[in-house]
Amino acid sequence: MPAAGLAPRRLHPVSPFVGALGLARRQFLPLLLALFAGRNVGPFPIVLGLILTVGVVISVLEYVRRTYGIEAGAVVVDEGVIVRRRRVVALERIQQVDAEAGLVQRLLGVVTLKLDTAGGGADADVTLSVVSRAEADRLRAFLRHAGAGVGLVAPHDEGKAEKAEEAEEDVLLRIPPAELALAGITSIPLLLVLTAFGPLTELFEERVDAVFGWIETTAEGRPPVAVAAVVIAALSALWLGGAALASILSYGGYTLTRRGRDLHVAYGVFNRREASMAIDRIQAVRVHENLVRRRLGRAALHIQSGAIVGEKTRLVVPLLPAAAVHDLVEVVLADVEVPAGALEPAPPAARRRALLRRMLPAGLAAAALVAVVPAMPAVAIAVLVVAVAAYDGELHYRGLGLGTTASVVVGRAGGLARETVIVPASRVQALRIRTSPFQRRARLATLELPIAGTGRTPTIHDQLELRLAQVAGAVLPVSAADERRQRAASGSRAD
Amino acid sequence: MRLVWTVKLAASAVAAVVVVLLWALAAGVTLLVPLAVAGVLTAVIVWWPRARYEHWSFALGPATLELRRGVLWRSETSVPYFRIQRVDIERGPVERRWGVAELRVRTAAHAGDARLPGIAETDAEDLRRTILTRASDDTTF
Repeated sequence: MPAAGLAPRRLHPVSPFVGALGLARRQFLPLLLALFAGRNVGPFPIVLGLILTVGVVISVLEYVRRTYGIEAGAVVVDEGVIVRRRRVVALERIQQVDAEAGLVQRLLGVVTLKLDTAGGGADADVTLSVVSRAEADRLRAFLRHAGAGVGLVAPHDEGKAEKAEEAEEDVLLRIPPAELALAGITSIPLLLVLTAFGPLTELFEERVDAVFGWIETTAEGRPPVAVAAVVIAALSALWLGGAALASILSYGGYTLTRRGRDLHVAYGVFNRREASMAIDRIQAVRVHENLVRRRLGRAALHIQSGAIVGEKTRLVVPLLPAAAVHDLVEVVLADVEVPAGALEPAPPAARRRALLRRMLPAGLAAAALVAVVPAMPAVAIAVLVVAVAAYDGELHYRGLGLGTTASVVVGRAGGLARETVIVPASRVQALRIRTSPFQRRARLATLELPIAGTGRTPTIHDQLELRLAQVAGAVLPVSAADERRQRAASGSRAD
Repeated sequence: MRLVWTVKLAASAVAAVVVVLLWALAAGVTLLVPLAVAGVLTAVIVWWPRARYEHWSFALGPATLELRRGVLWRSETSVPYFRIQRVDIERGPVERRWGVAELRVRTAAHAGDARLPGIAETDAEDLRRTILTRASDDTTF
């Protein structure tokens, strides 16, 4: 067993200043700008200085009074200037340890360490802002090490984990900048980039006006279609470039590694983020592919853990070759066999359902349109609407898929953007088969596989009810075997 | 339980009728509208709780708790005993008045909960204990 504890200690001495700086940036900078913008300054700078000074003093006091350490299998944080507070978080409840460093923090060689636990409430996670790089590494190693005895690492692999501590570190994936640019360009929420440009256009309003003026003068006397084409091309180039740049900045230097029974991810050019997740806590993996990415043979991965708190319940792989997905998922889900090759398609009844569900509302709307405006353009629009609905329905039908092995269930759904969810049978908590009146007529059903945590429930849509019952029946024994193993392990731990 | 659902539904129906009635009076619409609404709602009050009750059943199977529910959109849930974390007993004011309770069987998954409504108050604690016993020493697999 590892050492029992870590003596109480303070955060890094620059902590209060990093804290104050953050506060200043968030609260006072806008205020300052506002003050200088309006010329009537008056006594405000003095008041502001006073507030800032008080802020720094409070930060320093808080720093002096805050200690953290590890004793008796728990992280203990003592804090509070006047009212003392002690927080105790059991090591076995820590789901994930994240390190994050902004630009200033990186220059100072410090990081913010975040311990996410499974459990709700305000005390759910512990944030250590800030500790030195070396201290963060030491703490993380300690947590991993200590976790081996209390549940961070599956007990039946204790020996393996201890060894892993020494050397074993597998780099599973690095994503080069070109791929990241592609990830940005092919990501669906491209609109985000446009909204990001919003504030910028306000800042450079005059210049934007100048650009428009320049466009107007240049465009004079030229055919309007050509001008429109050039403007649209320029805007799209800007848009795509922005998306690519944003993706490179946020995911730059993306590295996914496996250290023993932990997954570890680090990324970001300015804001460097690091996160770890215990492999034994991973509940499901989702593969996202939209139409463009499918054509390019690429996919994105979302790895979902059982943590309940915050958004740190998943790790994201922004883009990887579709051919590499299978092997990576088998590493990430450890000890399972993921089906290779094509999934089972949904039965023909599912195609009828997919088409009907989309064409019926579209048809009704189209009929209403033609009834109100009995003219040729309206008819053309009506036909187009129904055709698009049919295409969408066909896409959704083709998106449906089901796959199983002895240890996992795989379900795929979606039209333009497809999502494949891969759930180890051992993680399934319950089984639910749903049917709507329409599904019952076609002997179809939907299978839900609830897993721990607050993420979305893995769902397999529109397969034959009999087939789903068969899948469900095969899941339970595997799930039970896993539970038995864990109970046996926790029993031996109590000794 | 039918009675409880009828009472709850009737209470909201009366409220809805009152709202429609007030609106009809204020807007000067013919009183036939609230009358029609009341008629439809009465039919629903008679039919819905009965249908819901008949389509809501549970059974303690050898390895799993089986729950079926839903009139039009049906679902069949199997909760393996070994995954059960907690069983809660819930009683609202209407439930207390008629001496029934609802058992909520919870797992680690948010979506894995099973609701067993309309258990006689006197049986609820026994049923809860039965389920928990099976949950803690499940050897069926």
